Amino acid sequence: MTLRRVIVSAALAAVLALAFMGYLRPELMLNWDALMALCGFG
Amino acid sequence: MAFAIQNLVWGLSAVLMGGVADKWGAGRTVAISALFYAAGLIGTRYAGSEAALYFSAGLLVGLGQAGLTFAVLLPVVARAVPVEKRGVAMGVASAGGSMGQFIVVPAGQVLIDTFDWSGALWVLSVLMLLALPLATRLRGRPVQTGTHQSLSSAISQAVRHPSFHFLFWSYSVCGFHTAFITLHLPAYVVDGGLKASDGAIAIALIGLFNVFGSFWAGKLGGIYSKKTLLAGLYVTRSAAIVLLLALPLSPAVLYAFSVVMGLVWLGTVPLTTALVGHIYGMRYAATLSGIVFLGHQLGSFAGVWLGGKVYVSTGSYDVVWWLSLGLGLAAAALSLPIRERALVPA
Repeated sequence: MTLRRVIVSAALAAVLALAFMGYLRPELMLNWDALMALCGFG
Repeated sequence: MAFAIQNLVWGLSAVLMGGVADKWGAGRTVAISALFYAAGLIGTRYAGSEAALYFSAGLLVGLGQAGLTFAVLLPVVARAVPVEKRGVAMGVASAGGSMGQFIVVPAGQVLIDTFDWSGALWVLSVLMLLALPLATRLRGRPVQTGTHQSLSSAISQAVRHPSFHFLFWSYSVCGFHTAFITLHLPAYVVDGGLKASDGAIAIALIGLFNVFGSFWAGKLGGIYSKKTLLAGLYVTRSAAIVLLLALPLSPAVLYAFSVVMGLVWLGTVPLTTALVGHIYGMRYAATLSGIVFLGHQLGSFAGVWLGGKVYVSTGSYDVVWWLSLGLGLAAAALSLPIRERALVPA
């Protein structure tokens, strides 16, 4: 595996991990809760 | 209502945008669509009435989506590379689109937190306009290969061919599954006693694993039989639904379901589009993919609508889950008889 490929793969993994963590942020969770409450769930 | 209009316009105008791409080239189509999309986002910011919202978020954004998503772009990607590299190229393009869908939700939340929703819409519209300089790189129109064929005769040939109908209806099942699960899974999860955050994690897992699944579906489609892979994806979806229904609902079961479902989520897109191009030729692939994509959107509409309707009527999503399971098997059965043989030289 070339150095360039390693760097690109690491960058891709970092972006995906950051995005996944973004789904776990309290603000987003709050929006999910609000949406569910609006729909009559929870 | 605005989103229902948006999805309907998206499906109907995918055929139109596909035709524009096949006639005048993908660069112009992408540029026009980016303008529609950006105007729709800005219009949403300033919409002062329901009608204005339907026009901006529904009509304009729907038109923009039609020219900027897979039905138009994948045939362009396929035409731009040698036949032996089409699978990988379509896999990369599908994974890129999937990654964007995955990232835009948390990124949008960050934008809203930082700039408020009105600033977020402005930022997103400016980002959309970045497609304009990129569109200038998409040069050229599809070249005529083999015998001369008009658009109308290409459509006529396709609709008289049973495989086109198999592709159309199996793709509608894909739309049914993805729309139903995206919109109703979080509610199903809460209804089953889990937390709303479990639903959010489930959607995130589907989005994350979809990036890898769509890449590998495209890549494997360049090596193995596309219709067999397509059938395999639909059977896997049904198997995942069986597990979700058969096992007591817990976070572990939900996450396992989401990972499996993510791996087979939009892998159908490069496979279905590649089959259209392979069987009916690349000359009018965007138009024909647009027609097949209309099936996808009809399925999406049915999934969203039926999910809500059945829940209100029965107080449970079980009927729709069982229906989704059956539809997955039906889509697999529709995929297998597809004649994976070129009618028109690719």
